[in-house]
Amino acid sequence: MTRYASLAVTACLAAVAGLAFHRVFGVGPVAPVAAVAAVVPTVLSGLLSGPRKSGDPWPLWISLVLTVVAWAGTVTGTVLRPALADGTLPRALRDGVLSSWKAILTTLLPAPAEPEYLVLVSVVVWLAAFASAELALRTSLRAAPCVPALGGWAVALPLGVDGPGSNLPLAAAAVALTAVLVLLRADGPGADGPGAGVAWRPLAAGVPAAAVLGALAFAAGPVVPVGARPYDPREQVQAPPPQQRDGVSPLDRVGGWLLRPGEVMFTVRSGRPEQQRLAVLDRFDGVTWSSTARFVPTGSRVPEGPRPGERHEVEQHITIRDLPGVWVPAPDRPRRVEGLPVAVDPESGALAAGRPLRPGQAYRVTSVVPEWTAEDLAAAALATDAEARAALDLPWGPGATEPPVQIAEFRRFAEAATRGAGSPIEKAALLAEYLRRYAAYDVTAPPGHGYRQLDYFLSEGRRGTPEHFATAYALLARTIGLPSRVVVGFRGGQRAGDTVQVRSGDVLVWPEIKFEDLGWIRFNPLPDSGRRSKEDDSVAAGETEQKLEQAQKAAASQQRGEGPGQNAEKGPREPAAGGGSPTPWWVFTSVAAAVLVIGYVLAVLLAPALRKRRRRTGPPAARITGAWHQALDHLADVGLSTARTLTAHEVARFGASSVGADAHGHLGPLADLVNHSRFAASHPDPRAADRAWEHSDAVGRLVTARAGRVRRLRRRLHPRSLTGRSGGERRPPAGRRRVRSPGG
Amino acid sequence: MSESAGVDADALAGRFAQMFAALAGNIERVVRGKREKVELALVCLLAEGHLLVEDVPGVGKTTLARAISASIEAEWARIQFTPDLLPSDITGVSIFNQGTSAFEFHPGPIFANLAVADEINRGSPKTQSALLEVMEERRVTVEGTPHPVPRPFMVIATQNPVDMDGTYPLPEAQLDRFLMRISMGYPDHQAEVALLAGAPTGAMLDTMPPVLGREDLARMIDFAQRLHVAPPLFDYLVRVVAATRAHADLRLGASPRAGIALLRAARVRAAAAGRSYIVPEDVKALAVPVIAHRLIVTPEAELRGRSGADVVAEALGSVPTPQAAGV
Repeated sequence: MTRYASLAVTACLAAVAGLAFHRVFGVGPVAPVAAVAAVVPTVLSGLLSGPRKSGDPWPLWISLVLTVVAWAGTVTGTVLRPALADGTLPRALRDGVLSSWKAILTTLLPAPAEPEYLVLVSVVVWLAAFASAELALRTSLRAAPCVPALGGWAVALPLGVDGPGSNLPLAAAAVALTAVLVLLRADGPGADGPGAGVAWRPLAAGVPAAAVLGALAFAAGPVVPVGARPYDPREQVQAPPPQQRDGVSPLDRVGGWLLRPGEVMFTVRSGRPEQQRLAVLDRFDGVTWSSTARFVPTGSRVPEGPRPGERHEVEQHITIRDLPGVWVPAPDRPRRVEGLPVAVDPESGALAAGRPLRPGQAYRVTSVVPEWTAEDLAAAALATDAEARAALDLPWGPGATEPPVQIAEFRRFAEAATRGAGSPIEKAALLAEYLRRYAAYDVTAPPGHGYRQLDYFLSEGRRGTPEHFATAYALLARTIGLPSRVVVGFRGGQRAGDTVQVRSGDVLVWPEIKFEDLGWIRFNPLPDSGRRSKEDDSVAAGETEQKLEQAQKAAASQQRGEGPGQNAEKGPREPAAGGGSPTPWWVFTSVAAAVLVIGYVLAVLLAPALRKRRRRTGPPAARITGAWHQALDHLADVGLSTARTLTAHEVARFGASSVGADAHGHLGPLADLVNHSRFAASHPDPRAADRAWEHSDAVGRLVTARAGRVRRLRRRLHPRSLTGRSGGERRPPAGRRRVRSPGG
Repeated sequence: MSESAGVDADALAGRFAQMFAALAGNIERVVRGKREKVELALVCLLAEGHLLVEDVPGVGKTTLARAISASIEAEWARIQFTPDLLPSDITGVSIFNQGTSAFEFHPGPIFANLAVADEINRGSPKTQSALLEVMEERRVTVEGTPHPVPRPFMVIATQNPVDMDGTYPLPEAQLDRFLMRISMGYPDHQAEVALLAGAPTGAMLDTMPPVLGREDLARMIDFAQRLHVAPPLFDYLVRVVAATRAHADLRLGASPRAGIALLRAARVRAAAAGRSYIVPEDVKALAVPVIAHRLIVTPEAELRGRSGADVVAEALGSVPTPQAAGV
């Protein structure tokens, strides 16, 4: 009965390990797969464990073959049923087993519950359940059947480390189930092994204890000071190379869209108008701007960007109309996209579809829009990370052998425009303000944003579209050390019922500057004429944009009030005292060390006591052997180590020479008893076992009197207290007396 | 074996031990200060083996044989080996009886219960080999007719390790037939003083009362060989014997006969200790006297002072005992 009860627990353990994949796929898709994969192999192993005619269990290889066949059938009939229908089963099965983990590692979580991905859950849980069941059936080890389930955890945890949700309840359940399993497989009194029957007494006392242990694990888990940032294998994985997602840069389309402003790009249904981002272009090669985004597939989640102090969340339902290309519009920093399979650039949050967008495609996007205050911006320093350094590049252009002369001119222009500005925010704001006043908005200006076109725009033309203003700003900013990039998006639109139609004329290009801790902050160098509402039913610029411009102006004026040059680039802001400060490493180290020390002390003190308790139980012969081992442990406390070539009486003689003559009066009879129990034809009776323990306890007392309690305690704290003597000969430490047989 | 059978065996073993102790005590009245040697000789007797005593003259070898024979109401005979000793001087001859007109077999001294082969290595190889059959098969074949020797039968051979001139070393086959080889050694000071102060040994031997009859002795022999041996001990014993065969210092290791002899001797020792089962101590205690003389040490090892006893001790020190785990 214990065997089948153990099987139920191992199946639960495997299922719990499978549920740990919920951070990868969510609970809904994982639960049925884990349940099936945990139950079927366990039942199969249980059926095969029944006795054959010969009385022996079925060989392991038969179980192995049958479970592989059963798994293939089960996964085909459940997870891969769609693949079976469309004839792609072999490929799906192969990809699921061999490649799904790679795809999951390069997908933002939660990953889409594709059948090929769920095959991984099935195979891991199945293997864990099968191995656990076979261990429970074929061995008498108590805790070993839990180990395969740990293997399941070992796969699920790294894959889901970046996913939503928590595994704490599952871990608590696993702890409780493990404890139940160990208790269940504990030898009962007089039992010969786990198969002999359920040890009801320890089980009755232990199951509540296991529940309490699980509850404690659940309660203590969140407060245990572990590393704030767990190991994430995704950081070690090279994302797939960026694809050429769109033949035409959205920046190159801006001029055409502005000349045909009436085309409806997409419609937005939302309670709050927000500026829509389409493409983030951060690399300038001297002629064009392009994106270095490394898009990775995502189920729906988009990783979080910089965390602003104030922000608001906005949810929009967007329906594509005539928007070409693969770039997917979304307000500022999207967090979740549902209804459209997309890839995301984790750095910028830009979204892209796998194929060019088609009219009628609809999706719901939830975004977080930061609300920067003047105080945030006034204290901001420029970012100095790798991305910011790359955003300062001013390439000479394809094939150029010397720097273009325009760069120097742009630098002089920018320096003149920002003369008197001290802080980075002041420079950025002054540059935007300068451009707004310097040039006029004209949609008929010839498109292009290379050095020559921008030189013409800044020197002679002084008329341009948002393309010219934004790209000119970005280049000018780079010349004076402000890391910049260009973003193409849309703003405004025309209301039609409860939706807003965003048209081609609403396209907008804006530059962004990267600041330390704040991330990318957009600036608006476009003249007012270029962003006024053109029609009566147009949607005005959002509240967020207005607040940002006001904050930028206020921050710039604050800086000017302090005097130019007096508050030049500040270093990174000091972290605020309290909540945001990370816990020092030594706290974690100290707590971990304390936990280890306490655990070690408990282990070395408890292990001998448990070992002695175990030795005192069982049939008389086992109890006599236990008494002998206990006596040997006592002798070890006076520094006597024995070799396996010694006989019991030789050990008794050597023990007496170490402990004293009195000890021989106990060790000798004990040696006789152990010899009799081991080599005589008749079995010893319980009284003999009692006598053996009396002798052993007497030896213990003599050893304590000889060695002293302090020395015994010191030896008890040694790691060897954790190991029993049954492992065979032990090597004595240096300085420890070693007794060998006369010839050895 | 049931528990009651175990109790019976224990009781019989206790009786065996009493008789063994009485026998040893009786012999020790004349062979003083040599309790251990006396017990080894008795183990050899009760295991139905033969004893090779390697020692100088005058340390009590003959006395030991006479004391044993007197204690068990047995006959003893002494054969002094010399180069001109003939096999027929040992085994006996057939002589034509004119009265009956037939050949009659006249048994030699080997037909005693205890035959003392004094200075056996002085006999010629031909004469030494006359003992091969009787030591192993307990019979003498003369002119095609086998003549069994009485039970108990034991050969106590002596040889002088000092004076080797004009001797013929015993061949391996001969040595292998001796269950044990012991050395009597000189008595310690007190024992020697007591020896001088006490009654003459010869007179005591003549008046020594028997402790056991031959039937008692036969029952003891039979009981000892029925003693229980736990399976791990067979394995241990074989490992000990096998350990000698692979030893680098040996030219010849112990034979399977050595293992059989060790087991027989260990059974007797266990019974003598009042046990109905043998333990590893029995094997270890008897391994050197039973095995060492059967080993042939390489000349190089001999030059280094190594002996068969050293090799056996090493083997005992390298083979784990089948003791409860942890010993």
